Amino acid sequence: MDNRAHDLGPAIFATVCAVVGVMMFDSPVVRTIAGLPLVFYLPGHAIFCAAGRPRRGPLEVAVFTVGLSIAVTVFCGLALNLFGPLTPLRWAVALAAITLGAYWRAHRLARDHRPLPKVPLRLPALSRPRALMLVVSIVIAVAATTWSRFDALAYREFAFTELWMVPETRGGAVTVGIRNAERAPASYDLELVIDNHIVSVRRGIDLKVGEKWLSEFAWPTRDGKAHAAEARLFKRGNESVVYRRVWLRREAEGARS
Amino acid sequence: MLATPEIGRHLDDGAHEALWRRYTGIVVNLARSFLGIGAPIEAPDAGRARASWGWIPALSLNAAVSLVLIALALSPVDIAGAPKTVLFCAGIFLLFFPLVTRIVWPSTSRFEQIGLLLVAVAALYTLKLLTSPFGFAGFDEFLHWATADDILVRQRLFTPNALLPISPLYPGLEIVATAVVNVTGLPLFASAFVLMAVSRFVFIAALFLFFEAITRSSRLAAIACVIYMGNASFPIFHISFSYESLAIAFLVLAFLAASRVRARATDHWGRGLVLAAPFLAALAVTHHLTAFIASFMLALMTAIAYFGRLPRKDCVALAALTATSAFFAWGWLQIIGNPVTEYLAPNLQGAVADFIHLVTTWSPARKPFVSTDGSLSPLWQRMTMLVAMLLICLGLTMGFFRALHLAGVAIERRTGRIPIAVRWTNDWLVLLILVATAFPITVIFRLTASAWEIGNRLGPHVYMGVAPVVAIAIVGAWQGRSTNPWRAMAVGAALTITLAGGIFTAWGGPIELPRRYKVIADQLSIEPMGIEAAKWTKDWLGTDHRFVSDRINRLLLSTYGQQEVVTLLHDQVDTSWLLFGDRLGPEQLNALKQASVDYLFIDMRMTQALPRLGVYFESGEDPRLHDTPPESRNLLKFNKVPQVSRPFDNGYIVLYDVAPLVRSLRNGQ
Repeated sequence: MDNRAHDLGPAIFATVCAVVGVMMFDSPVVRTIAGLPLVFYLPGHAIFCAAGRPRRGPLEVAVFTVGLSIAVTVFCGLALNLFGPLTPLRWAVALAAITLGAYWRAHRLARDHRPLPKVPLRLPALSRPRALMLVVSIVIAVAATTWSRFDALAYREFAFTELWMVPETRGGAVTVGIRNAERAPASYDLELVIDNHIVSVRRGIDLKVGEKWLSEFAWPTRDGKAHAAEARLFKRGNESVVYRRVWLRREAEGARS
Repeated sequence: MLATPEIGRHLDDGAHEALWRRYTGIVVNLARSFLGIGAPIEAPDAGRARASWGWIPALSLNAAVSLVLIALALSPVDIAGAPKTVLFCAGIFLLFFPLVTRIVWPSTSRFEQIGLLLVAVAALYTLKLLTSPFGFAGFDEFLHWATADDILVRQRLFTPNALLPISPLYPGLEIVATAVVNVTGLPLFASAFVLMAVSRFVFIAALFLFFEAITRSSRLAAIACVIYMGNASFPIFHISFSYESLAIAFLVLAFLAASRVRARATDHWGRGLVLAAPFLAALAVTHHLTAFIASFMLALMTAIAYFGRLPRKDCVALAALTATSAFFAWGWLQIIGNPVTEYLAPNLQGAVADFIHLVTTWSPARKPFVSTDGSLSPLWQRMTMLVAMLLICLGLTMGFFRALHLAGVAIERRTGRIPIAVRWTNDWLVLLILVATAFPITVIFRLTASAWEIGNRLGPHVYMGVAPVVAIAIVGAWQGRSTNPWRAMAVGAALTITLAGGIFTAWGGPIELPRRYKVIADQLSIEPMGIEAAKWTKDWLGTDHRFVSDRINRLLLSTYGQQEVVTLLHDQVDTSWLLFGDRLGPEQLNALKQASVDYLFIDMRMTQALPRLGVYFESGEDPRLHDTPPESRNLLKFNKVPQVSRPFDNGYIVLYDVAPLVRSLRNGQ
């Protein structure tokens, strides 16, 4: 191997590590560290090298490398779709194959005495206080974004209580659910009415904010007749008003066919 | 000797003529100097400064502190002290004013200019995150989320999307986002976040390099990038998870590849073509309109090169690039069965009709600064947007001739049938100047009812021309090479106003802080209660049921709820009167049957106000729906229908199960 091809070694090694990281590990951290370069950097870098790495400045090389990687991912997705499902394994194999194939071509170029030009990358010196400033600004920006998200999630413009009633998939019962999304803990009374008869009353269902209450009730379904089940929710302190109301109506057997 | 009255009159005439000539001369000279006719621009990059970090760290810290102020202003919790809008504006000013003042400074190094541009982009990206803390928030983001989610669930492309049927047919964005999900295991939102961040940085760096290659000045390029950031699409729309955001990055990369070829004598056209081709191909499968615009701009460039007497082989190469671009755009259109004509034609027809109406009657169908529900932006917001536009117009006026001069445009006399000939030396700059002349058209489009969206979509492309022309005005006239700090600050303030104007326009209505729920206002209507109700449908009813709902809840249902939603665009069934009608008549029953509806998801908050965005469901709906908000009793008319169940109620959102009713309708009962 020509010495000039040796600068591809780290890139090929990185590609192999990325593929192994994506395919062999379940940890999201490992997969993220391995997977992001496989989508956003390595394919473009390999193709850029295979094209003889035209002489350009470092910013231009970086821009074209990332841009080409994204473009290659688009083509790769279209091609994969022709041959089967877009699964994680197939994605990893396809991106790795393209990258390693392009590096192979770049290696052949280098072997044929067409040296790849070096990209001059020289960052100006950064003093310690200035580096600290940069780090602090990133920390502040991330903290502001995170705080803003939690602040927005914690704030509830609408205070509400969810009431629902759904039939069990195999029939014979209904599930009634209550969820308290008010601004304070609340106490509820629940009335269950089947075919205009009150069949059950649950009093004093105390729920904290965000807490859920579920219960199942029997519901006659096997007689082939039409039935209606209704759940009425009352909020403690205002028992004269129905706070929420849900119902299910089941058709007679003949009407359903 | 005494002058006779006649001689005196002659003398007076002569003096008047001289005076007239003198004043005319002064006015002409002032006009020439103002417009910069024939004025050479002093070398914008005279004495390139040594690369250094300069003010990057300090201004990054300043940006971070400004973002904290903005985060406080955007917090939904009421806080004591200054009004939140003041805090927000102060944050925006504090964020951009020092950044842009430093960028326009003549001795700033190229390294620092690039670094500051990246800081500005990062700050704008963070601003977008601060405005959408729940994840995806923009209307278009939900449309593409639905497509990406389908790809992840079904592991294949081109699955139908009722919200935006054309989206799965241009899957470039979703392919990359789902590739990141598949390879890294990150959730879709995190993957989209990374993709859009990478795409934004690549875009601004490519734009800088493109402008630099054309103007041969990093200072002009950096200022042009700042001006570009002032276009209304940049701060929010082009950062969102939308196919245009990625497409415009591909467009700039393709143009950069093509433009660098001539900038470097050592390169060959062939290599530029090879480098530009993958970006044009990726563009063709990512966004239709951007792909067509790229082809059009390349065709224009070919014509400019031809008439500019570029060497024959260069013209052929450019023509080949244009043909490649058109081939990809047209070829993909044919492969997917050309749904674009159907999608864009009604908009274009409406746009042309509205444009003609506006030009002939001078009565704008869409009032500037007024939302469709009639809410008017506050005076300070209107003034900022207006001044921003006036500054851009001033920059265009003062930069136009200076830009022509920089492009080497010259008029020559010659013998022959046509007595004059126009020559130029910088073809790409001539292209951008021509593109900039379309700016007034996009402004006029924004005053129409049908074409405002087209004006909005054309804006970022037209700004590719506007930005360098205004930058040339700044470097050639507003600031020049002056190192007077007051002058630099004045220019910085002007650029900050253009950036703030862009952000305020992108806001899409009055800036009211703290932000509160509004009826059908996209981002302002997305809140936890609606999200939880949509998630409830997935948890308790399962996925892929057919739902009828309003514009906002359709988005939540198809993404958080993974349901199928009925739309006029996809199903060709208008379900608006199904919900808003006062009775369940034949029209409503027919809509239920035609659309095979399973559930109605009714948001009672619609009764509170008219829709801020002008539609309750989607464009093309019956205008009578917008006379008054719907009546509660109309929305709740299904309470009385025997075959309809009501399985969910949270006080604001009610769900009706109409599947048994639809079944009986199908059975003819």
